[in-house]
Amino acid sequence: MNFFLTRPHVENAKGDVTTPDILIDRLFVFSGEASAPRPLVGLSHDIEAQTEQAGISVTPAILLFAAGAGTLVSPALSLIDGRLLLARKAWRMRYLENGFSALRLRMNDDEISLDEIGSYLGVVSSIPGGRLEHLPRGIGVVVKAEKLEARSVPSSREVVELIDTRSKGRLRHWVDMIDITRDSWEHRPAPDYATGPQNMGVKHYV
Amino acid sequence: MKHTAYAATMQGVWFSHDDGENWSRLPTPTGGMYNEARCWAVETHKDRPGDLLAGTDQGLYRFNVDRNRFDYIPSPMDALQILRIARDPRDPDFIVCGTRPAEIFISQDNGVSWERSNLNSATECWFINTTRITSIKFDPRDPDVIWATVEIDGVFRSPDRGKTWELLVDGLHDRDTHDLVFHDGESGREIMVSTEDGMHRSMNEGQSWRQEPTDAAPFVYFRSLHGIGENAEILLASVGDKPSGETGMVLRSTDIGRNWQAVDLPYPPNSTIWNFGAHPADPNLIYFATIFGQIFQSRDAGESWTKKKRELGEIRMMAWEPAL
Repeated sequence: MNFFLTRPHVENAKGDVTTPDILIDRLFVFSGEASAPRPLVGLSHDIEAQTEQAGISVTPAILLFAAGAGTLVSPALSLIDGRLLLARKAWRMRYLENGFSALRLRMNDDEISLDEIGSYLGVVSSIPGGRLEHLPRGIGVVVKAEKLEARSVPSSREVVELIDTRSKGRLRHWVDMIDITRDSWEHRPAPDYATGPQNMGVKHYV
Repeated sequence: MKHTAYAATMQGVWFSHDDGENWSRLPTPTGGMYNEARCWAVETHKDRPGDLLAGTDQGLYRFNVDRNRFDYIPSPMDALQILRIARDPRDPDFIVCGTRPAEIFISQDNGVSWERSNLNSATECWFINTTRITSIKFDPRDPDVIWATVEIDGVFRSPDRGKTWELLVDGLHDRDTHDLVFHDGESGREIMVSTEDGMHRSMNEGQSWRQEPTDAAPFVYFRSLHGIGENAEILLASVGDKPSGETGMVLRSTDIGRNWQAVDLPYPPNSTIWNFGAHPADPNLIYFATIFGQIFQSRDAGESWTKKKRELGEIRMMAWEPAL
């Protein structure tokens, strides 16, 4: 699939929530000054992530993505293997006073101001066709808080919070890490085919 | 009783604040849930007035009374269809959701974290191809026991709050099961299950079932069951010609389903009656909906019914609770 359907719940200052469904078909990762394209595979709204027992490096992040009434920003968890687990909650940048300067990312009791990663203008101008008011249609840009990178192990819950220091608002996103080597079910019997009235034969259906 | 009624429809959740006469949705642009989300389940809890949960094809939602909007609840079920929701009557933080494909997801912390239960239902089935949960009931005698019906697989019973499940189909004429009702009387426990092929009764905790005649209905497609009173002294059963069907009827019994009487309805149902909506605050006040959108209301425990003027397209579930 060459697009990702994101379904954010976008809350404004009055507490109203809009629910646009938006296709993202180009993804970039911002790295200080420039943005590099990255495959869409791995982008999801999952709240669970399978990992090896040894764990995996995770980094809190935001995703800025193009929307019709102003760029949206959502918290996300970036895994070093390329997965980006995106919250279904977002704010619209135009409603955030001073943009990045008011935003902080938090994970595991550590926080960072987005200003320390880059400026909003720097991010959007790193994208071909990007302008302050909006990103081009279909574009998503990942901004990672590399300083907060941590090791996450199975059975842990990683909580990423996007904080607006002006309004005191918080968008909270969490991902539960699942041990890929452990079967959560004690046994896995053969898959069954349930029949209908009087257990009639079903060969004509399958 | 002044109350708020809810309808789960294929165009989201509808609210009525005037006895079911007028219905509306939350503001389309800002209500927090896509207003044409397919919604199968609405669930209230007697101890949490206004705390409505809604199961859709886009995730699980909770109504936020203060802000008059739905709040999205992150869960592993976003890609599934959330067809049924039940909460422990003693503990509203304990939520059980049933989906299509037939899976059970449980949260013990009011939706903050979720576990997929090992229901181990059939992975394919006759006719509808994919199994689905049609009812979830906490056992009224012991709420640590959870029951579920699966279309098409049978009756499931969990003795340990959803950790393990047992499939109970011995004697079922049809594993296309829809709903359950329980009665604990002097002669012991009786459980009724509605199926695509009539009513079945168990006298031994579901270990075996016996199909029972229901001569009061010309059809055998039984869908929803509702027990009125703490011990289901009165039973209501919804019947239709088929799913989705072209007509339906309500049967009423005052002897635990041994004899049924067809209830007079003021207007012919346009399809199978899919669901009864009730609340313990007033056992006599009951709604039902046909799958194709008609709404009926009874104020006398199902003896008589009025049809509401407003119809809502395709309705999958009704609920109500006392007005806040």
